[in-house]
Amino acid sequence: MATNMTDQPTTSKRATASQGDVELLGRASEKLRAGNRRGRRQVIERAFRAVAMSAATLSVLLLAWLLGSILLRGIGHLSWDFLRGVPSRVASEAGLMPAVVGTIFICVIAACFAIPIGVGTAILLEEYRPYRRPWRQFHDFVQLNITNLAGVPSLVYGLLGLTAFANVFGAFGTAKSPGFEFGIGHYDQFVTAGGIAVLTPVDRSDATPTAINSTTPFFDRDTLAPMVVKVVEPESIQKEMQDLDRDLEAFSASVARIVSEEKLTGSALDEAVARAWTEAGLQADPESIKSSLVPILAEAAGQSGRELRRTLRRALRPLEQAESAARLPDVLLTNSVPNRTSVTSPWYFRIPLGRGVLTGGLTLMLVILPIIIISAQESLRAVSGSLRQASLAMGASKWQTIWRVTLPGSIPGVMTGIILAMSRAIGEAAPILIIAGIVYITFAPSHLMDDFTALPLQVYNWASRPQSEFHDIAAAGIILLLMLLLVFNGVAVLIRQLSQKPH
Amino acid sequence: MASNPADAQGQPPGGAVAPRVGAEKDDLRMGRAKRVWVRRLVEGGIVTLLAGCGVFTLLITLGIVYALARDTLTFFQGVPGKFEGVSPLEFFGSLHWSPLLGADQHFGVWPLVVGTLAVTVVAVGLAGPLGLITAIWLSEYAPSRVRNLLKPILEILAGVPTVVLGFFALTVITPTLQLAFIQRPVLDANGQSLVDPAGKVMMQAWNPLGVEGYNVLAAGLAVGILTLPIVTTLAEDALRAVPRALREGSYGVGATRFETSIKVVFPAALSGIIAAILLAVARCVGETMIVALAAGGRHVPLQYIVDPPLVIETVARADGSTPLAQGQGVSSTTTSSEEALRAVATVRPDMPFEFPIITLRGGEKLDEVDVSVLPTSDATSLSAQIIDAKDNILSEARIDIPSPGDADANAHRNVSLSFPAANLTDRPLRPGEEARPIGVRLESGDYRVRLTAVSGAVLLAEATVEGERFMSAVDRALMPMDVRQSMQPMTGYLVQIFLGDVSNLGIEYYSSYAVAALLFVLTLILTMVGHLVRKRFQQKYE
Repeated sequence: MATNMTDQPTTSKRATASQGDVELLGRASEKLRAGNRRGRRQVIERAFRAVAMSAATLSVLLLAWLLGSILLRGIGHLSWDFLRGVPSRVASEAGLMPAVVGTIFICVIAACFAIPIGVGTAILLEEYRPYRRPWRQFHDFVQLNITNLAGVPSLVYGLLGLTAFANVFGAFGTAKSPGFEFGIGHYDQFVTAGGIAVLTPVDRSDATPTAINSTTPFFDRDTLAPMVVKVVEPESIQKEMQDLDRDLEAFSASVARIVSEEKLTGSALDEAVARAWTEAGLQADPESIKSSLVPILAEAAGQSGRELRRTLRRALRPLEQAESAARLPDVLLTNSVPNRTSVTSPWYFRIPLGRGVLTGGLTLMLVILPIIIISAQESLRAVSGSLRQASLAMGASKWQTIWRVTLPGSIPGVMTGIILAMSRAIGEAAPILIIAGIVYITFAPSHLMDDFTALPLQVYNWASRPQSEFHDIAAAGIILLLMLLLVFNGVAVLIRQLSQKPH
Repeated sequence: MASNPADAQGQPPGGAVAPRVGAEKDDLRMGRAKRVWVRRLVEGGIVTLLAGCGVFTLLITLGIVYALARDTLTFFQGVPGKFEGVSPLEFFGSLHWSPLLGADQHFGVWPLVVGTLAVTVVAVGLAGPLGLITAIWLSEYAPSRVRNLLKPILEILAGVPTVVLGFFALTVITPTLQLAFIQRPVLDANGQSLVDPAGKVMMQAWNPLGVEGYNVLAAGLAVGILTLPIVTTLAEDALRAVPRALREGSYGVGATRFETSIKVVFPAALSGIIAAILLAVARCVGETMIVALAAGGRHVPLQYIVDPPLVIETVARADGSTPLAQGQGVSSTTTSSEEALRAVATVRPDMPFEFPIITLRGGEKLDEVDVSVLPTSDATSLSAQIIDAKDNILSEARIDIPSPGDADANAHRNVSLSFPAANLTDRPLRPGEEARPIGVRLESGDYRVRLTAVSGAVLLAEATVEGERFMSAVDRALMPMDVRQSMQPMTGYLVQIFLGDVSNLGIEYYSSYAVAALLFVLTLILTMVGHLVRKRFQQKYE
């Protein structure tokens, strides 16, 4: 190998040296050969060192490029309004609030379930090593299983969450008509002739529409207070409707006269309109529609003919609503068609869970569980065996030893593992995407079954749009995400440092 | 541990240790005996609880297997009255994947597998050599100070959320590959530069390599960045596990550090390094968000090797009587409103244009459709219909196109068609009522269309229509494996399906479970083999 390497470059040197003394040549050749060999190997050595160093530097540069480009792009769009706002069709008005609240919800739920189960499994695997055969096999199988679970793509957990939590394997109906639910009221919503929405309760979300009669109970849509509603046949209020039309026509005619013939403006116009109002016998409070009427009348000032009529018709539309609300507020026609709605309380719960916050949190729990188990196992293993033996020798039971000696000793490691798992949970998008889909949400979840979106999901939503303004705010969202991760990782490093001090 | 033989059946030694000293008084002994009994109960309960945790982790695996197997079986068997099953022979044997084309559905999984493979090859191509060299440098060369600096940086890189890397691939890596910092004007077929609706000359990236906006190369590189820390850390662990004696022996016979690293340490750690690569590949295969963002939604039309392209056939057949189903072959019609954003379609003067069908969910309605009309068009009015999947007309609208003024003779004219909301109210869906897929049909005319369908504040769908680009996309579809183009990996398909409402999907929904099952089996094999090799390697040097 070595001679092969040096044959080529030494030939010419030997040729020039052949004029001199043979012995000298021999010695020089030996020296040259050795020197050359060392030189070539040294060159390779140095070259590799340079290549390796630049490869290592490249990963640092990649990180710097990644963070730098995103920071430069998004930092200008990060503002208090952006954090407080809700998603919007216009990029400059869009905000992150529902996504941030959604992320907090699912991460807290995931932590509540994953930490006890994960640490428990780690204790089982590390502290209760059985010696009998079937139990040892069970133990080894659980261990192997966890190693494999850590390698399962997070997307697959999303599918499991969808099947097991959102649909409960299809065993309890669907989320739209669940097998079990509480904390929710289903209603049929009717609209009265006066334009007021009233509710009447029904048993289930998929019940047949209510046939209304005079005994049907009705409730206010916002306060759910009982309301008295007159249920009448459509024919019986024909006269009232005709009166309404007639009075509105009269008012319209006198307003047209005021605007086009008398050409009044300012307070004189206001007074004349108010007079026309009472003359026509309108019952609604004139103040209630003043805000919509005045600007339109001002517009109509210089108009005449068809143009004026068109403007007045536009003015009359809100007027008609207000007037019918004043005259026929609680009259419900028997042929009204209901809308099915529901009112949920904060403790609304159903089985199956549907594609809501709780399902999202539980799915995230599945994703971070293996991470927590493996890191907790490592830190439990690191606790010195003599501590355990000392505790047991003092007469403490197995569990007392674990609870008072082993676990406290491994807390820094366990905490670090949990924090790293949580920072994984914050950034995880794929399983949440399977559960929640991309939905347009402008509110924070109000109960555990509510639709939600999360920070990485919102970033994905914006990044997948073609407009570059959305890419800008996606970068701003990423900065928030990375800042959260930085805080989490900082805490993890701090715990590691603090726990290392006593040693 | 060895000094303390206890088993999972709940017989902790604590109970057995309780001393039985005769000198103790009876009541005290009674109390102690009771305490021991309670203690045993507590210990047993705790062990049961912990074993329950262990069983739960097993249930997760069982749940995954059950959930995937059940719906995969449904996919293969079919649901009577709803859809026919797909035979495993077609699933694994066919090269034709078009799950969302309605009448022309084909489920051959290979195009998706090829997409995954392409991403993996690019990713490992970056992370493999770079990660191994970095690992060798870290373990054999680097001073410990540098090591302590570089390791946390790698940890940070490993902790970057994948959606961030996807964004990076889409908005930084792709423009860099396209050399987007050099701009040139967009030319049409006649060599004239195109003008956008605002009247400005349209510019585009220089792009000498011909990299598309969505491409596998950028996605693969981003996945490579993601797996770089994995390869580096695992390979470095393997290299450091090689005993010192081997290195010292090598130095003893006069080898340089490089020779020692490459000829002695590297071969000794080879199985550990192979394990590192296998685990990295497993991660690449399952990677989702990066490919969903940067690799695009189009699958590789492998069937074109065998058959002539479907779309060209359609275009050739369309003689004005048959409306051209838009987006076919480039991006299939889809129920996801987000995906419709990327639908590229064509409009020809002699054919009505149909907008990719979108599904309205409860609370959504279609308010208006904006159309931008070509400068060259002499059409004076435009009519549009909203149609459902069965071609019923739900709503119609007609609008006059303003004549081009002198000032902006080259500008597009934008018109907005509003639809009477009577047929498309925004009331919530009634019980038993299904979400309605609807589409928009425009009468034939000479216009380039940029459609935005809007409901309230929500952008439902948007499509840009340029005939030219469409045709070139069809031409390029003839070259199947090209990392410069968009390809759909398995994970990308799953994202496409679950992005929107899945409740009214048929066989497509179940096909996603079959794909997920394949993905699960693949990663499971890779992970298991990887860990096995790694364990063997670790045992070798213990």
